[in-house]
Amino acid sequence: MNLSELFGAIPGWGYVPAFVQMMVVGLVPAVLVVLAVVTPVGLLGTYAERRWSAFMQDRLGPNRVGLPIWFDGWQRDYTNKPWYIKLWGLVQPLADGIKLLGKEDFVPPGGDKLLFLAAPLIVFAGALGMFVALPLSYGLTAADLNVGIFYLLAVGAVEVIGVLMAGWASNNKWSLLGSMREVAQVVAYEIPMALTALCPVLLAGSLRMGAIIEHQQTAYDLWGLTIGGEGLAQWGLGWNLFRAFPVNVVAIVIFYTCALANLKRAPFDLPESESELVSGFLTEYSGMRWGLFFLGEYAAMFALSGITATLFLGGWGSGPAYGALMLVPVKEIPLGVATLDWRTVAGVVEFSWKTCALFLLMMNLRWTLPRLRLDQVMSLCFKYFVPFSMACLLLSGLAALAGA
Amino acid sequence: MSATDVTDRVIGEDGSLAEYWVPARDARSEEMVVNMGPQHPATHGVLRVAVKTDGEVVLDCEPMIGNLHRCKEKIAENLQYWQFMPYTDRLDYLAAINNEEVYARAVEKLCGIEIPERIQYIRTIVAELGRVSSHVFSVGVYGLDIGAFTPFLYCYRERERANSLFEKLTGGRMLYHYYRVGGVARDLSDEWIQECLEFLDIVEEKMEEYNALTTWNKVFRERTMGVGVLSREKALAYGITGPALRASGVDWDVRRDEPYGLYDRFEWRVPVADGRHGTIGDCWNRHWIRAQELAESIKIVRQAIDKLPPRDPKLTPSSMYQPYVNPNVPRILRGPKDAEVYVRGENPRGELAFYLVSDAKNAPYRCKIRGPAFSNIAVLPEISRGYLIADLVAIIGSIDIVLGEVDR
Amino acid sequence: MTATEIGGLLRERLGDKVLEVHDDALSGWVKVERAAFVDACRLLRDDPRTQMEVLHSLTAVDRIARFEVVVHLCSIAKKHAVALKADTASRDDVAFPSVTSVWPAADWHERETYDMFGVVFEGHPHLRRILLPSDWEGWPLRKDEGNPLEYHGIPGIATIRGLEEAHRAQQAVERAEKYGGAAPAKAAAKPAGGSPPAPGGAPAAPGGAPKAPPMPGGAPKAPPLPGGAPKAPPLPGGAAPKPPGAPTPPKPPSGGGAPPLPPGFKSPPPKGDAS
Repeated sequence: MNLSELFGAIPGWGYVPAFVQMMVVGLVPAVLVVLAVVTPVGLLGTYAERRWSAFMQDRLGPNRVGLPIWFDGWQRDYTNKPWYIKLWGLVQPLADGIKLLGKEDFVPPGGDKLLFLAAPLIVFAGALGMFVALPLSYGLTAADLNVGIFYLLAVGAVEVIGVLMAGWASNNKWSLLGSMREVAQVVAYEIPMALTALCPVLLAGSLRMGAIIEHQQTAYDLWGLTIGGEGLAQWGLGWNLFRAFPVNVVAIVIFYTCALANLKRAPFDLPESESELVSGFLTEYSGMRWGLFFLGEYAAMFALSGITATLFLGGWGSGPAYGALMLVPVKEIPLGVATLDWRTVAGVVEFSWKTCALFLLMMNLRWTLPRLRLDQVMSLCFKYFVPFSMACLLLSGLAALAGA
Repeated sequence: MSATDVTDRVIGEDGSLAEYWVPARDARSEEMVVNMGPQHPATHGVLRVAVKTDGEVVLDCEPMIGNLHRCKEKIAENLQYWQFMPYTDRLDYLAAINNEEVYARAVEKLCGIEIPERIQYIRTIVAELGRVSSHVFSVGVYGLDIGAFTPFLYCYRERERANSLFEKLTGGRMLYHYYRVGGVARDLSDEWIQECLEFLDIVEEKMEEYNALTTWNKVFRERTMGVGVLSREKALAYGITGPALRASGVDWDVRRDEPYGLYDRFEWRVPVADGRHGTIGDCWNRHWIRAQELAESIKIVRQAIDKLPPRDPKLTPSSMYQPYVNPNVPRILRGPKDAEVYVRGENPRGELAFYLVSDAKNAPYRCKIRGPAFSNIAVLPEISRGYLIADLVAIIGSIDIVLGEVDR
Repeated sequence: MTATEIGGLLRERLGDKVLEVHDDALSGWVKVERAAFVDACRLLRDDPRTQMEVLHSLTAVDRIARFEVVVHLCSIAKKHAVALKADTASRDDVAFPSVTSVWPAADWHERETYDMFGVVFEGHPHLRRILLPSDWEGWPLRKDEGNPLEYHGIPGIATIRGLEEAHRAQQAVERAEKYGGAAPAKAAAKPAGGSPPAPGGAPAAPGGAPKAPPMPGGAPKAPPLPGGAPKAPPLPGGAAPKPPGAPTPPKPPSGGGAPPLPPGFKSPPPKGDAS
């Protein structure tokens, strides 16, 4: 029973115009998948960041907020009660969310109210949009668009508009400076990011994310020399990282650094640098609007880690975990009305560990490195990344020719 | 924009601004005045800097001080000599013990009070420990200015240890009132000395970690080397003192060149910028001098603890409420008639000086406090023109001001 | 080089413009005429024997009849230090030559000295207040400077003490009404500070003579001055301050009337009733 049949059971569904039917049938799973992924990712991302930075800095971090399974009157300290599960502080993001919801929705006087209120929504929508085309596992892509990577990069850049709106509407010079930095930085880093993203595209011969993953499942070839079969490729040899050998190693470094810059994470956190611009475009925000910026940031972090994993590290389709799980002699898991393909399970595991590793690396970098200066960020982009990514693109083209 | 448009290249006399370009007049956008502070994380307190910018380029800036002015000099005129001691803690509140030392020496010089040798050793130990505690903080907090949060927390961990040491000795974690005219509040115990040595071991070991995270970090060096260059001539003309002066290549330390206390008895060296890394007088060198002084101070404390003379039974106070001072200090301190002293001491941030004029009363007729940060921050507009706003933050951080001392 | 030698050196060049050379265990200083102050500074800086590159501190001392400006110099090359002094003409004529042209470091120090003493440094590029707000009235470190009565509606310590005194008097009166007896006589007869409870039911306005209440802690009392009126008028835009010989009545706090009493304070009764 698929979705079309499900909707067909609704009385009068046949009278709905066909294009509306298509849109609804297409949108519902997309929205479901996106919401099911983005919300936990955003909440867990904030928790992970706080906890991980605390470990790095010899602190404890949030470790108290848990779940009371029974209410036994108002207490001064719940944490030593047997009916209170501490849960390593995992409920902290929810508590934060409740706190943020209770805060005043403040608009600075003299600011542009409409833009100010809309800006966090746009930033969050940009991050949300990326999950639509993000291949989470086999059959778990909300929409495997034929312009997949193109769409992802485009939607990822929507955030710039939101940040510019936020800075402009805040009626604050520091915010304006922050958002101008953001625009300069992100727009500049889109160029090498897109160029390096084209390297796997050239090798796979398609913009579709699914095609790129399938390509990495095929036998590995080194400039036309085939090594191993599909089995070995499934274990991780087929990753684009190893194809066209030295080229994509450079490409992934550039792509990942550009992702950091687009996410305005340290060492590229110039737009919201606390010690210079007093949090830049975030200065005037409070409450849930401020929280939306962060939800968007963590969702985008996850999405860009996932894109990096998909483009260069085989996505869900190849790697050690996938190879090992495929040894299990199970093909399908029956789940009542539908069946769950075993590849989906293996893919989720494979995709998750790679994405989480890249996510963790982002946090490690943030809490280790000092901040770059604007001119250094720009010269890094235009003097080093753009020429190097162009060379990468040229060489991957040659590799694709040699392999073809 | 062709290259000829950029005619307004701003170059300092020392070539310090070689990389920066202020846009030519026809390419200039609207000038904007931004207020940095008094509520700004980079200004280390309540300093307000009015910055005239063109985009991100600082065209001019002016520090505006006085938000923390507490009439210290007027208060000094209205208090007896010994009563003013705790007020000196609040000058440079990050190195409170060093302020007390200079004031105590000034009063002792004015009233002609001798200090027993053991007390002099104790004073050297705590003063240098104060310098360690202050420099550990400065090194970490400069990392925070540049954008690295973690080294700050690491350094603060060490400063907390130093605070606990001071708490054991003086009862205060930040503001001590440990010095007395003619001595100190209480003697060092053997247990405390042991803990102090352990603390020094920890700091010495961890310093490499901090230097890896800040001083030798590539991004950190890119951000600070060649930024905010303060030439030797300018540093002297503006009366800069302390690590900032030595970072400009001037080999001057009051502890060595106008020896006071016991500093001539120990083996240590004065770190001076030599231009091996970065430009002489830039932010990085100011930071690096501080990191090196930390090691030197640790050396001095170790030697002072080694040479600490045995306890003198004549000095031992009769009760724990009595201070550990020279017993010959008079009950009421009076300065001589129409006399004055100007006593300087090397504080972590530069030379603190007290100018005391006495008129045979038990309170000074005039007390001028020459805070090092007051003179040091005055040079800010000179060395920050033409840099970016991010550099301005780096420069303020490298000068390492404490507003309690600037505003007094 | 000791202060005596430096003084001799200056005498060679400046002759009898060097007024006094002092050198003992506590301090060494040279006093010169005001007109020769900048020359002496430049000489000390440029002479290869002295090389005073660093202006360490610049301040003033209130010598009642005049202000004494003190500059502490030190040489890093020669490792010696000296203080150079000069007097203003009188307490009223506070003009003094600026040494910012010799050492840029003097800029902020001179501004601070102006801020605290009202010494006007002629030739300073932008002489204005530095530590105190620009609309502050008076020169705090002068010996005759009293506590301000109020600043932008914030009552000064004298005003607060006056209010407290009035409150105490009121309490004493109430106590006397309640329990009888002659308790209020003491309180009402001896209003402290410069703030007697004003007659006619008005709250205690410390108007009249702004006498500086003594600070705690054995302060040296402000000596009597020839000028009379203690408080110097404000200096608009760095002009020379008006001599205190021409007294201006102090600004009455908040719009000519008495300052509003804080809640809990009642207006004291007329004086006659209490006694």
